[in-house]
Amino acid sequence: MNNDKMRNDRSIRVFQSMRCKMVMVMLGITAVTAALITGVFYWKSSEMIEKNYTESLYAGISQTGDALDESMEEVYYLTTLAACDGEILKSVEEFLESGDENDLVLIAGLLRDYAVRNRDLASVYLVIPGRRVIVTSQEYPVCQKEISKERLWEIGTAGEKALTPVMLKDPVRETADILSYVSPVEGEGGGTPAYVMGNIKERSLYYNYLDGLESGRGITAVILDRNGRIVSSRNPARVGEVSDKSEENSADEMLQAEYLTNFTEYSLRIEKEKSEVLTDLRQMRLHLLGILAAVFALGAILIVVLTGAMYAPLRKLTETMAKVSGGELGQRVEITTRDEIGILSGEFNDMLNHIEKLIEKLIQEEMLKKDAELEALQYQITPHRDY
Amino acid sequence: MIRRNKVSKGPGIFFILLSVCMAAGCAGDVHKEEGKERYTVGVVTKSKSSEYWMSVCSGMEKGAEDFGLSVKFVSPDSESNDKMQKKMIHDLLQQDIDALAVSPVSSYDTEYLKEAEEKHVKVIGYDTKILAEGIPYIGIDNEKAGRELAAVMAEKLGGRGSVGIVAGDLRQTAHYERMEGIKKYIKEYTDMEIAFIESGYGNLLISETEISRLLSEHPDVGGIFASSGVTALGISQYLGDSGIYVMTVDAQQDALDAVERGDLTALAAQSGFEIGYETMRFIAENRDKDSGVLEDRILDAEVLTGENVSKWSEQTDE
Repeated sequence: MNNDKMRNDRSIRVFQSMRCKMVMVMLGITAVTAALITGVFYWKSSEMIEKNYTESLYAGISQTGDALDESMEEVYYLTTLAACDGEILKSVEEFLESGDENDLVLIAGLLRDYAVRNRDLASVYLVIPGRRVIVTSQEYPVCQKEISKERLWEIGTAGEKALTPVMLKDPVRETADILSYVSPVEGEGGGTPAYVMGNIKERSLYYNYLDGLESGRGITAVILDRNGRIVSSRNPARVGEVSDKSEENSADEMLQAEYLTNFTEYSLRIEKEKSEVLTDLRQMRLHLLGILAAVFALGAILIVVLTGAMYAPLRKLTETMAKVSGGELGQRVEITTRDEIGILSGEFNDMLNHIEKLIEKLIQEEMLKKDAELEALQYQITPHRDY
Repeated sequence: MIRRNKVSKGPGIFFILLSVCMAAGCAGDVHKEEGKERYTVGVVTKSKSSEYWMSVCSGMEKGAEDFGLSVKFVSPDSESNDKMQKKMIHDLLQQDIDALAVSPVSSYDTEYLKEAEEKHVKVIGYDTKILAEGIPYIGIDNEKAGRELAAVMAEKLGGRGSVGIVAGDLRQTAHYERMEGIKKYIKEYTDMEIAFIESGYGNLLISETEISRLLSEHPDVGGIFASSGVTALGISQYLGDSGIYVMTVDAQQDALDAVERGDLTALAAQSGFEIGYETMRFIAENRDKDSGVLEDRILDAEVLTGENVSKWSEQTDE
C-alpha cells in the first residue's frame, strides 16, 4: 500500500470517525437550539412591541375621540338653543312680514353670540327659505341672498339627521364643504320659518383633533362617519370618500386602532407602519445574529475540546487494535478511563493476553509433538542397536 | 449481517417545534372598534348646569357601564325651556335608540310619546313623572317628602305660624307633588298657614329683590320650603341668622354641608346619582318587557337634620 493511499484512507476515516460524528451532532443541536431561541425571542419581542404600541394608539384616539364628541355635543346644543331663541324667532317673523333688513342685522348679532361659545363652531347661519336668505354670524358677508332652491332643500332635509353633523356644500361660499348641525326654528303658529346651521370646518377638525395624532413618521389618522365616509383627513381631497379597509394597507404592514364615539358615532381610525415601530428591534437583528454566531463559536470550541478529551481513549484503543491486527501481538491499550471505553480496552487487553497464552500453549504442544515425532523417528532408525 | 434499526428523526423534530410554539404562545389582539351592539338609551335631562343634574348623569354613566348599556345625553339650557327639550327629544328619536329616559320640563306635554311608539322606543320617566298611561317612573315619592319636611317644620314652629313655599316649575309633578305634600300636612295636622307660593325656581336662585319683597310682604314667616337645593342655599345665604327655618329636597354636597352647619334646617335626601343609576338598572332589567306593564320604582328620600346628616353621609360614602 503506498503512502498516498494510506493518507487518503486516513482522511476518509477522520470524517467518518465517531468523534467527527459527535462533533457534528452537537454542533447541529447547538445551532438549532440557538437559532430557535433567537427566533422566538425576536418574534415575541416584535409581537409585544406591536401590542403595546397599538394599545397606546388606542388610548390616544379614545381620548381625542371623547374630546371631539364633547365638542360636537356642545355645537349641537348651541345650534338647538339658537333655534329655540325667542328673539331670533321674533326677528325672523318680523322680517318675513316687513322685509326690513335691519332685522337681519339684529339676527346676525344674535348669531355671533352663539358662534363664539365653541372653538370648533366656525359660523352660525340662519336660513330663511321663504325669502331665500341666509344670515351669518360672520363679519362678511352678514347675509347672502338668492340662495338656490337646491341648497335650501339640502338644508331642510339635513335637519333630520339630528345628533350627527351633515357634510354640506357651504351655501354662502359655495367653494368649500362644511359639517353642519341643522335645527329647524319652529314658529309660534306651527311651520318652520327658518333653520339654524351650526357649521364646523373640516380643516378645523383636522388641526384640532388629527394633526396631533399624526406626529411621527408613518402615522395616518382619519375621522369616519357611520357609513365609513371620510369626514376629516390630512389630505382634504379624500373628504367624502368611502374608506374601505381592504384598500388600506394590510394588517401585515400596519398597526391599526379604531374608536367609535358615542354622541356623533364618528370613528377615529389611526394607522402606523409596522416598520417604523419595529425599527429599533430590526436594528437589534444584527446584534442578535452576532450573539448567535458568538454563542455558536464558543459552543463549537467547547464541543471540539470536550469531544477530544472524550475521544482520546477510543483513539488509543483503535490504534492498538490496528497494531495488533498488523501482527504486534505484544501491544496493549493504555487504560485511562473507567467508562465503557475503559472496560472495552481492559477486555481487549485481556483478550490479547488470553490469545498469547493460547499461542504459547499451542507452540508448546507443537514442540512436544515434534519432539515426540523426532523420538519416534530416532527409534525407528536405531531401535536394535541399543540391544 | 448486522441489521440496523432505522431511527426516525421526524417525530423528534416535530415535537421540539411544537414545544417551542406552545411556549411562544399566541399572537396579541389588535384593538377593534365597538360597534352598535349595545342596548342604547337616549337620556333627556332638564338641565346640565346644576350639581344635581351632573350627579344624575354621573349615576347614569355608571349604571350604563355596570349594566352593559350605551347612553346618549341631551340637555336643554334650563329647567323651564320645554321647547328646547321637546326638540331634543325629537332629535334623539331620530337616532338608533332602544329606550328613552325623560325628566320632563312639562309632565303634561307628551306629544313625543306617539313618535316614540311609532319607532318602538320604550319611554321611561325619571326624577319627574310623565303624566301618561303606561309610562313608568323612577324617583322619590315627592308628596311624601313634602309631608315629612312639613312635619319637621311643624315641630320647629310648634305647629303655628306661617310658612312660604318657593317651588320649581309647577308643570313638573316633582315640584307640584312636593308642594301638595306640604300643603296637605299643614292643613291636616297643624294650625300653620301658607303665606306665599312662588314657582319657577327649579335649581335656580331666587333674586335678593324677590326674597326681600316676599319677606316685607309677609314679615311673620317662620319658615320657607324651597323645592331645590340651589334655591334653598341662596335663600339661607340671604337670610343669615334671621331665625327663619329653611328646608329643601336635594342631596348635593353643599346642601348637606349647610344642614350640618345649621344654615339649612332639614332636607329630604334625593340623590341624583342614585336616581340616575337606578334608572339604568330599571331599563336593563326590563329591556325585554313592554313599558306598559312596568311598575314605578320609588326610591327612598330620608329627611336629614343636623342630628343625622353626618351619619347618613358616612353610610352613603361607604
